[in-house]
Amino acid sequence: MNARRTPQKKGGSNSRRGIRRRDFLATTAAAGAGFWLASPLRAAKPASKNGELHVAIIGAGTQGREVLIENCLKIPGIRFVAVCDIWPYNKLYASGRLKAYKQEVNAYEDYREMLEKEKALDAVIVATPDWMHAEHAIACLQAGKHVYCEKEMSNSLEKAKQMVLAARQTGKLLQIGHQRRSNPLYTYSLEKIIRDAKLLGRITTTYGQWNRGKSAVDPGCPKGKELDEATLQKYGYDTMHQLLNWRWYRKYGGGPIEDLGSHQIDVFNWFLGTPPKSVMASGGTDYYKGREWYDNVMAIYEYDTPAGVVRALYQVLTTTSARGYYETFMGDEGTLQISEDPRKCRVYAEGHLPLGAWDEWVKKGYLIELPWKVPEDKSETDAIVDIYKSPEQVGWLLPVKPEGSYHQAHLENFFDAIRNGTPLNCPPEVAYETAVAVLTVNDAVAAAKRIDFQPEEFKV
Amino acid sequence: MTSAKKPQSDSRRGLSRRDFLTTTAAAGAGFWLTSPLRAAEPASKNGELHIAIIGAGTQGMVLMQNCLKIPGVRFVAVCDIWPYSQRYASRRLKAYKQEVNVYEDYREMLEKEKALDAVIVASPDWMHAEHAIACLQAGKHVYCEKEMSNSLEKAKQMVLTARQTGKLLQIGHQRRSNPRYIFALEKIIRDAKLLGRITTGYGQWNRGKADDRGWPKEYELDKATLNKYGYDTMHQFCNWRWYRKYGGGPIEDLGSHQIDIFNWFLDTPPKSVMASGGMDYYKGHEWYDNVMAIYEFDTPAGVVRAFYQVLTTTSARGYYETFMGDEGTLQLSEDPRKCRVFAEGHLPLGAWDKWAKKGYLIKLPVEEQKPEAKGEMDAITSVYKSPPQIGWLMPVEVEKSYHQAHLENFFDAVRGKGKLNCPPEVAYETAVTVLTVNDAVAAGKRIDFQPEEFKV
Repeated sequence: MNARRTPQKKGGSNSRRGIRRRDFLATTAAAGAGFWLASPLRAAKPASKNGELHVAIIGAGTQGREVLIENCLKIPGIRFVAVCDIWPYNKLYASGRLKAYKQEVNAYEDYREMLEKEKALDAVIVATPDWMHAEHAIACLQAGKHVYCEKEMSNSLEKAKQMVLAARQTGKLLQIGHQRRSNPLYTYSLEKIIRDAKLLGRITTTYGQWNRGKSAVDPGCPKGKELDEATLQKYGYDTMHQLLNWRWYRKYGGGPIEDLGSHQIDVFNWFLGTPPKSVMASGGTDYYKGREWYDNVMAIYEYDTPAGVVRALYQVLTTTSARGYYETFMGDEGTLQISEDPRKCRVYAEGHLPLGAWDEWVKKGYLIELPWKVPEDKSETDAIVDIYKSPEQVGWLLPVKPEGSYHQAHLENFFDAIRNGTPLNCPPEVAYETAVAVLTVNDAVAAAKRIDFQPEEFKV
Repeated sequence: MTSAKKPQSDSRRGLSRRDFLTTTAAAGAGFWLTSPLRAAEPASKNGELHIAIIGAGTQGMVLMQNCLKIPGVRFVAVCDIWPYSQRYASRRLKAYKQEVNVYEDYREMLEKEKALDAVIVASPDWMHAEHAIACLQAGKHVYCEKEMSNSLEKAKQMVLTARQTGKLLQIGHQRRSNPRYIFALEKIIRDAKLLGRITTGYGQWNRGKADDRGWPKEYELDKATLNKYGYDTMHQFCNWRWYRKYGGGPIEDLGSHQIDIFNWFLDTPPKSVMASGGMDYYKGHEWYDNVMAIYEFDTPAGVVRAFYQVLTTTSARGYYETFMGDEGTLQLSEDPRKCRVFAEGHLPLGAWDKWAKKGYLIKLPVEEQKPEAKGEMDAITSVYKSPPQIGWLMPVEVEKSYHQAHLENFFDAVRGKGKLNCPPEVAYETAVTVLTVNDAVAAGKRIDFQPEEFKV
């Protein structure tokens, strides 16, 4: 099946988002022009009760429970007081886990009831399926709570825009869970390696991939824990499979390009200092049966940066694990490879640099030199290879050892913002730019041509 | 600069895409399958093959150097429009006791050198057709460098001429004769099926920034000679790869080798291509310095998506190709140390041990098989996280250099001892696949191929 033949009955993603691209452009241009720059930093609010922040979580599934709750438990001064999930299994599992840490919580099925009863809440973590992010985050903001919401903001750009507006109107903080924005490996690379020492020279190309093997199985339901059909219907699901595997459904999520790609495409925008000017993409539901979203996607972005055009390839594959996940920034003087996996982080010097060109940066503590490497073998001279052949690249390490886990730093940044007015590393305006860059990939697959962005599209 | 503003490469080829489609469909349908294998001709004089080279530039010298390692092959003539190359090549041959006649005009050479068995064509791409066709029509077998041509119309004429003359025409996609590539395709992919279902291909040639090529001032060609041979400047002549009239840019120079592997290994030309590229970095070049292309292939097992990029502003990771399947990944390169096979983590432990016993793979020492870092659980990562891949080597030692095996295949075919590994019909499929990337950049949308487009 090629992308073009992907059944249209599932709805182009545009129509599914409740607003067509053309309408959206018009709306955005009218409503948002100029607002982004003028938007003031939100005032921080002092923490409640003897410095302890009271938090709740909506959506205590795998990401909410095993990742965000676990990470919050490592942060001093954070106390869970409520857990909300439509699935009793998750409620029980999460509240039991919190109890083990002496954090007794009230458990709710309905977030409205929770917001009504839990008056002393400082902040809410939203880790529900993507299509519910807007409803949950907006309700919390309007109830006067700060919100940490998982990415993707939404699988609908219209809803994502409403989230930005709600944060602005309520003056409450909204951090979106692109956690690399708070990762010391990433902030160091951008600030020191790229911007300060300029070790990459002029960046011309970017690459990112998340390759995941087919060992991936659809999450199943423990026997006897299934929700009854009435409850499922009440919350918008037809089957338990949909609730547990919402990521593969067009109604509930955006597919692997959104689940996985969003993290890394966000890094493109962040490091290049601008959203893209165009995207073209190829993808298909070629491998797995019964899934609505493209299992494999490749996208080519073009960016206009002050130094010139940057071309970026992103691919998400769910049928092979070849080389895992990482991002690469390639310049005419060096290459940065970066990943949440610290061992994948390297900087490489181009062979045309004079010997020892980076020694000063080692002395200054910007880089750690690796043991000398055996050069390329000289088995044959090939005219093209020989004339132009690049000498073997030498890898250097970053002098950054991330202490906490991936998400902890991003959650800490959120809590610091609440307590001390520290700027959020991923406010909704920034995450909205990423959502536009990411969700348009699915449109580009359907369109089979390059989609050119207008700068206004990224603004709310 | 956006890619859309670039001149159309179609018009440069002297034939619009639409015309081309019509012409090909009318002229070539069905011919490919019925084309008989060419009869081999016995070698001349006590088994020694007498050969000449047209185009003794840098790449020509690579081929010459490789021929000198092959027994029973003797150069008798060198043809080049540049005295510098004539001199360099003929002196080099003299050092190997191969005295040659030197020509500026290939027509004169073909007229005078009656005893030639074969000619090697290594002139700039835009001259391949003229040179190869003249040699074939003079009754010579031809080894012609890739790309066949920077014009598909001219490439088609090459195919037709080879067919009409019954002479051999080998195109220089030399990986087609590389034992490591052949082993990987025949043993790893087709026989042992170690990759499972292939869903994705990847290829890159990343080359660090480089200056344009210069030339010794005392050997500069005068303006009249340059003009006579179609060049305005010495810069054009020495850097023809960057000019639209003379070449196809890096996607053709470098990409062609690897995109050829996609077609070869997937056993079909692609069904579509989309691409992005630009003249974003270098000044004064006419071709895209960086190009990215996404192909889709329809294979019997399902869709394969293949990404190819050629970058001339960074050397990150060099050049290699990767084929990714649901059970394993094959990484291949002309650089032997880049060749590896990786097993997917969901395979049972020891699943490939039998293939190591059978001699298909060499197991690497355990210390190379480090597990992934156990940093943190991420829901998506932890639920789905792939176990680490384990690398294996292929038991193929390649003694010869990249081009030697492909030249030997050609000379064997001339002697009647084997079939060409890259006949013109095959190279034409690759030329269509590669040159259309430049069209796709200009079009800014996916270009769908018709199967007839690949046939002559």
